[in-house]
Amino acid sequence: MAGAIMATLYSSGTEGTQDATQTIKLTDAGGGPVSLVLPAPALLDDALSEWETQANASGTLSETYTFSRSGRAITIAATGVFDYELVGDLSTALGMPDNDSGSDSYTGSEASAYWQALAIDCAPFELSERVELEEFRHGRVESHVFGNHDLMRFVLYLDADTQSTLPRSYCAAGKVRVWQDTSVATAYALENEAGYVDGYVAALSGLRSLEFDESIRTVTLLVAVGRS
Amino acid sequence: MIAFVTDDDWTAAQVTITATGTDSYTFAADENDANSAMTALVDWANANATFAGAVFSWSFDRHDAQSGAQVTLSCDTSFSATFDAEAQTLLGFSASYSSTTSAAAPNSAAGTIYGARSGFRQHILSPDRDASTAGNGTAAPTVSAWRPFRPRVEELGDWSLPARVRDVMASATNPRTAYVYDGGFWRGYAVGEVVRERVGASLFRVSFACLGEVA
Repeated sequence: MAGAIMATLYSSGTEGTQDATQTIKLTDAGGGPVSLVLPAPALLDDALSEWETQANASGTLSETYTFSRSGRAITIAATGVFDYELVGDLSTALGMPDNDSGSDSYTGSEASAYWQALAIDCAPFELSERVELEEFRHGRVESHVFGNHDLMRFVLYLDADTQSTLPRSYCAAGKVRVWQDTSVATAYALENEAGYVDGYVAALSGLRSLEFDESIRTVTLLVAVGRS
Repeated sequence: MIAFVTDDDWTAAQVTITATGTDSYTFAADENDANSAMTALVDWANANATFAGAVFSWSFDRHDAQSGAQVTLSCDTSFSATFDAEAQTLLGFSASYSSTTSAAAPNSAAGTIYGARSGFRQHILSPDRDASTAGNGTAAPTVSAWRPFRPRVEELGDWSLPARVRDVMASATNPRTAYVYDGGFWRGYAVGEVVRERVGASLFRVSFACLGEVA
């Protein structure tokens, strides 16, 4: 089954403060540049929705905007010509040039904040806690537990042409959402074990080719999920 | 079947039973696992003069989809019961049952794990190099002795089993305690490391390192 990873874009909520992945500036016939700033960290798709809402709610901008994603390609479109500027490292996250102008639609190619695997191997959660079994006189015992998260291990099967950028992508660290099966759009639960998992990348390791096939690479992704 | 002591607020759970009369039971703070809670509920009902000699009992069965245990409250005469929201969450019961001799919970009770197959190796003695912790309390440290209570508990099941174990561990108390039904008795253990192994395409074994008796 096909899997996918989506990164959470960090935002301080304040333009100019830790401004790596939170601000887009738009200019159109109505005026500008108008800064669209994520109010809080958000998954890539949620961030696109937020920017779209802010753009269309702007009192300065005159066009109607659409922010969308198809696979790893991000599109910013409007009803008329506009210019855009991506602040900080947002161009890497969205897979688009830092800025562009003179068109009513711009489409990127390979967003670093979203990754599709050709296939994905999944395993149930591993308990990552540490346990100390204490023994006292007369056979009395206590079991002390340390830990507040569990681990889910994935093996991603990736196209060799694109895998080289995964280790330095936004999906290689921080908070991510992993779809074990992209056809299952609901969250993981006891009776929905194939659902998507929200967690933090704990490790990305073991990159190798698949049984001497030069076109496919495999890599192990370890995601830590907090206990709630 | 394993019933872990959980850190949920069991004192917020209330059960109201109507047989020959009506009375309510609120769980005590130390009735914080499915075994203790159901045992306490049944003991209370059987000792309650309001129910005039009705004999209550409880049992459990495996919930296949959840790899947990569904409990059933039974009585030798017809009774009705209502479970408040917390009791529904913790014991898996529906909100109400009327005029029945058997009220079966549709969901697993909190903290319970029940695989398709359960393995339980009885208490066994094991050698210990230090008699001062081995139970007799009379020998000096460093003298060898036998230590009691070293069972091994295993559960075998499908994908729902490791998922269930993960859910239960997240709400288990610290220090971790569980009651294990060995086919005849409930035994209390301190549960240490939990190991999950894949033994087939869709078959998992979860083993619990246990030591008794619980401090």
